Amino acid sequence: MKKLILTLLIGLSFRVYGENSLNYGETSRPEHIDPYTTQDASAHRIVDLIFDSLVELEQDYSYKRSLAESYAISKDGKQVLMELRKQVTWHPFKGSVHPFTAKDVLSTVKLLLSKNSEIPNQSRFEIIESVRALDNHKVLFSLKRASTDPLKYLGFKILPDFRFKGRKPFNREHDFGKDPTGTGPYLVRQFSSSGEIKLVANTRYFKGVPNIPVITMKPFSDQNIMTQALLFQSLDLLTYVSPKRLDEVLADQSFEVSPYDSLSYSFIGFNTKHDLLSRKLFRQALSHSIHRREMLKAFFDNRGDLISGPFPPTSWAYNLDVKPYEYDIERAKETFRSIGLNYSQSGQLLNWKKQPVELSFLIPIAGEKEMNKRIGVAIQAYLKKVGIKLNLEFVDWYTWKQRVLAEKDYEMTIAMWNFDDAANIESLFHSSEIKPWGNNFVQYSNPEVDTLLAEGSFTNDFDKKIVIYHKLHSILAVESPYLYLWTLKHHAAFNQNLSGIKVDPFSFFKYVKQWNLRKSDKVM
Amino acid sequence: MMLTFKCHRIALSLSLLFLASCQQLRSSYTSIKNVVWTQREEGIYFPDFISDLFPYASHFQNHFKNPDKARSGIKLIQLKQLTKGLKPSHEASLSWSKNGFLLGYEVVKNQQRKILLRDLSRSYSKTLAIVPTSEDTFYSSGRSKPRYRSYNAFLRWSYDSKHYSFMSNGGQGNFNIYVGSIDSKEKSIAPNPAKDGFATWSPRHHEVVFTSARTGKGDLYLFREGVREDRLTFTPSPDLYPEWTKDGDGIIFVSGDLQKHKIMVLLRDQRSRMWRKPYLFVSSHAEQMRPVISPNGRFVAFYSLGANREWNLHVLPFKKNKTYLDRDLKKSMIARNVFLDLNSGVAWTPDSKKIFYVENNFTKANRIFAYHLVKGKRYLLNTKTAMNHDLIMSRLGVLSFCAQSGSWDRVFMALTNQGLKIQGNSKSNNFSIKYIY
Repeated sequence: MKKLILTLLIGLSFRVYGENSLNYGETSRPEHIDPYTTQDASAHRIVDLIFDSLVELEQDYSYKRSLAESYAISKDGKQVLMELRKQVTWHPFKGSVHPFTAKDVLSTVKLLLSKNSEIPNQSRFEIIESVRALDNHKVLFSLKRASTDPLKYLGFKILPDFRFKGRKPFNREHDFGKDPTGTGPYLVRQFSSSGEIKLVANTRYFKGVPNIPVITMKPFSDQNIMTQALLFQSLDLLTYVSPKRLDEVLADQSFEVSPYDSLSYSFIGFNTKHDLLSRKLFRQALSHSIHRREMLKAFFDNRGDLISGPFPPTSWAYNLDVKPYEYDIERAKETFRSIGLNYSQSGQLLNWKKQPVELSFLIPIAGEKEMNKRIGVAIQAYLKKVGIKLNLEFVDWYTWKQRVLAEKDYEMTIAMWNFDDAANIESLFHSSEIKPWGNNFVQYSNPEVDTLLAEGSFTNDFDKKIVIYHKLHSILAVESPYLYLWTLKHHAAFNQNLSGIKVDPFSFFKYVKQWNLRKSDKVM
Repeated sequence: MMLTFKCHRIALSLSLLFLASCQQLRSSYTSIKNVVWTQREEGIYFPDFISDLFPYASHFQNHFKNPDKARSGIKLIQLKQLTKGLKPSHEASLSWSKNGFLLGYEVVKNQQRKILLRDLSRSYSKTLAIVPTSEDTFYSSGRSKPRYRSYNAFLRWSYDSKHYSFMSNGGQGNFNIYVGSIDSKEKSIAPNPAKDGFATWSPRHHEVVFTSARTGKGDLYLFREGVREDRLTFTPSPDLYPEWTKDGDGIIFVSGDLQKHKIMVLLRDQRSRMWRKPYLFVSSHAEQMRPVISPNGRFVAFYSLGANREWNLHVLPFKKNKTYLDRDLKKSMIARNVFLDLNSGVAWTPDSKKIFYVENNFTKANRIFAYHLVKGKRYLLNTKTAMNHDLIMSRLGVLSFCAQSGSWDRVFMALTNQGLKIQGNSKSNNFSIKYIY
């Protein structure tokens, strides 16, 4: 499962407080909160405070029981039997407290599979064939195909059955998103018109009452303004600090910064149907032409790693033996010449028809548009050094999707893959995915890669799986359908009044129950 | 963004003034062959050092001997990059001294953020970076490597161009305000364990206003030599980006939280010298940000967040004790969808009649525009630089800004015809603004 992200891209004693509240800032303002109908990152973080899943993914890729008391996987890897916890209750709703039961699981799955539901990436749930309630606290999941790791399909958040009675479709308009009910450590107390969301600790939480009684999410219009709010003690926590502002936060003794990895990487995609870009050596030469190390330093203060292939380096699938392409202009020029291209006297690279080589670079602009533009401008300057004129074309997200995913009307583009299963690259490079709206928008086709992807997907032998994916990494590095850029570290910043802070890359507030907040009265 | 009115391309009309032999010019500029070169007459429109720094200044003087022609429109005379060939690093946050001779900017070097001062009239430069001394407990604690890099930023000059202030963490993680002068060592003022920042000199007195977290959430404080600092504001949220009014008896600043920042004004009673309660500059639900007062003190330029979540640029006359209403805000817009430049805000020309700003058109790489308040016209400053920001103009008409060169932000300087020597101290200071929306 994966989703495209738009950009390349979280003991002073002189305080004034009315209550022991943790205030954190976001630069977007969720209009509704539920785990499924929104792709807004700030809404997803709040979801972690409100909802629970049956099992939770740990940082070592194992699964920990959450709403499930226990589970058993069938030998064929197609069924999972789950015993549900019995003492769990939903947040109070209209004065009533409802128990969590198998009905809620069945209702959630029904919503996730319903054609009437408007859920982005809904196809990720299609592997679930059915779920049956064996009793009030026992459910049996059946999958459409065998899996060595079926739990990875069952880590979704559970919704309350009693809130979804009737035929109203589950979408962003559903009233649930304005007044969500979960089983999680916090419940929504106030959803203000200005976008501020106040949550209070769930005193019935089945994992124990959180230490911090109140958490307030405050939306800001701008990253820089929000960072100033942190620095001047108006906020306690930022879930994300922009690379540009990180130095100032790090330079202040009142704050701690917590880096966290994400299963994501950025890349430049080449349309392999383009005459020059269809040539492997041409693509390799482009990889030698772009000084990724310098860009990583200039734009992200080296807070990340260059990558050599199509997996995040934190993934088991990443092949450490494959090294990233070195920045080497002479080697790039040699490689261009090796495929019959030449240089004019003025240093322009000429194609086989002796015409100057020009490429276009389609750049999606949304969210942190500043950074995508900066990267585009830098790459334009690097390619100029090897005699290539790069025309930058900034487009909105809708246009980008239409031209890249639907029509393949582009030559080079930039994007980022964000994974929850880093080894699942089948849709990115398998030739069957060369279709409108398919993820293989670079139109890369290689029978050997197709075979390896299929073998890797179906084998239940993990050692064999590693060998296959390392080989895939190696092939796709040489083939270079992408110019692999980097994977970045994100940074949360928090006031030293907060302690016990641990941040999970998949679920920011996963460990919030253990967080502590110490605030003292003001000293004038 | 679609242009709804005529946009003037500054560089095109001035192409006759560009000379290819200047090494600092970008290669994309075309040279001219039909310029009549005459003996340079010094000091007509520019001081000598400007003519030395920008060779085309002399050509401009020769070409536009008629002052009326020289001052008409907005002319880009020459563009150059301040530093070239140095080890790559980012340059940012520019600040001109009041006389236009000294330029300060920040550079990240050796893992420190330093401030470089350059006197463009002579070969003088100075680096500002506060680092712990050997006597500091920080080193005596036995740590071999400092945890905190020296971070120095937000340089602002005094009215006499001799002194400056900036914020620094002292290399020890504690941000305080430091003041200094070209000839003396920097010292911290009103030190406190809480964060201090955004220090700004009064235009008339040796007073510095700054934001401090010492009382909780970022209030304004006033520092005067030999006097304990005064707390000026008691607002419930951070008070940021203070700017002095021209008479030195008022401060305009941003206050607020969430997406509700507002511009507020503090005034000092002329007789008692006491500061009154702040009042709203504009009473509106729209978020407002980063006010900059015009050099003549008559106007305030600021950003406001529109209904479509885009920042728009507004200018309103500054009148003491006047609070504008939402309808005034709507009428005062001069540019839509602009880049929110928080470091210095927009750049006023010395005659207070034009404003330089950066557009936020997503299809372009942050181009610089100017708006002529009297004529109601917009101009594109065709610098051919990308990702422009941190615009600020000296009284001599040099627009400096940061732009991306390769992967790095570097300082660029654009000599224009907007210096006071050319435009003069405006005789028609009572002009009114022509709005276009």
